[in-house]
Amino acid sequence: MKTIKYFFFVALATVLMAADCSNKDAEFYNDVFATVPNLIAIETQTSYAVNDVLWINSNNFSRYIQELNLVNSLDAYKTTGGAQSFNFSYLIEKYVSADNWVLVSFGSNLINNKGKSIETGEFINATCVYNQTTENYDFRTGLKLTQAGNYRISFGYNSTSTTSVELRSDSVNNNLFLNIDSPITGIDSSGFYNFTVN
Amino acid sequence: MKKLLFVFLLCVSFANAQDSIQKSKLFHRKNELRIDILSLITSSQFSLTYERFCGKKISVGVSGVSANSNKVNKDFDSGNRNTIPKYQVIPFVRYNFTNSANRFYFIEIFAAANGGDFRETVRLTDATNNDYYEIQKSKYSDFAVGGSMGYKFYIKERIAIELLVGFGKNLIDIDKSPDVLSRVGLNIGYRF
Repeated sequence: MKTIKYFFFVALATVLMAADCSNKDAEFYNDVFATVPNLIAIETQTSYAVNDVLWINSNNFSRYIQELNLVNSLDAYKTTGGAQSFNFSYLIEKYVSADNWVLVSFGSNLINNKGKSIETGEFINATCVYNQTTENYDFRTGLKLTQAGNYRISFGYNSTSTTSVELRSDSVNNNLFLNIDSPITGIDSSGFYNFTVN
Repeated sequence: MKKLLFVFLLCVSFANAQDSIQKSKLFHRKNELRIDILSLITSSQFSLTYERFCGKKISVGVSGVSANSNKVNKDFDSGNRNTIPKYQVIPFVRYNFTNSANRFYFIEIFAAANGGDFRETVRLTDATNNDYYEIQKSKYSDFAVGGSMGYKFYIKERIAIELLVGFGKNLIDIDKSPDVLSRVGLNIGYRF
């Protein structure tokens, strides 16, 4: 009888584990994905001096985004049920010594021209805000460089890719979330834009 | 000689087991109705089962399941799942593999006609040739086969308490329906 009991409970555990695996309901179904290069750009200069402003810009990308290798544009606004913004994150570090970079805090030297950037303490959260008139998602933030030194910018803090900016829609009311993988030019293979302030 | 002794003991044991089954009043009560209180409490799923005992070891029955859980509906709308199972009709055959009518382990095979709601995200093109994604909802119907096992005991040879665990696999509309149907329950029933 004991053998039967042991057999029963082992079989029971096996059945429960098997039932738990391979279930379609273990996923999230409100995400859609797109790849659109260069939605975000750094307004680069050949050289930077103290008190220069380095701008990060969405170039007011349209709600109709052109995906890589696809003919028709994708309507990001309609897909997301009218998302009022897209978010991404970035951070800036300053070189201290070999393999030692420290996070730079900007405070009032973070200039929100369009959309907004908010420092969280670990990274900067950027929001591209929808403009009803132009039907674009606007973002342009300036970083006032107050100290000389070597700096680097990364968009890979909350991302699966270091060489892309990952934007996610602020979707509400059970609408789809649009995740845009946007490869960015001008960064190295490790995902950094390096520059020096003289 | 040892072989003969072994066969003899086996026969005695089998005869005693048959005797214990036949002595039970349960043997004369061939019908049982049950409801699943576990599913009712945890997932607002109503399950009613009728079982007919055909002999000492075999029984057949059918379960009807109707589900309407607020949590499941909410998960479906928010994209945490892509199906809502709404109904199941489950005919089954059981085999009692212990030698007691009052408390016993059993195994069963079952079939399940099941259906519900399904959602998917589709890419469409509007009149101005711009694409967009949209959630589309539809119905699914499928047929599953599976197996379960359980333990049952009776109080005063009338009230049945049954723990059941099993799963089945959908076979037909597999693009829409859930891969796996679980059949888990804590049933309370009346035998007559």
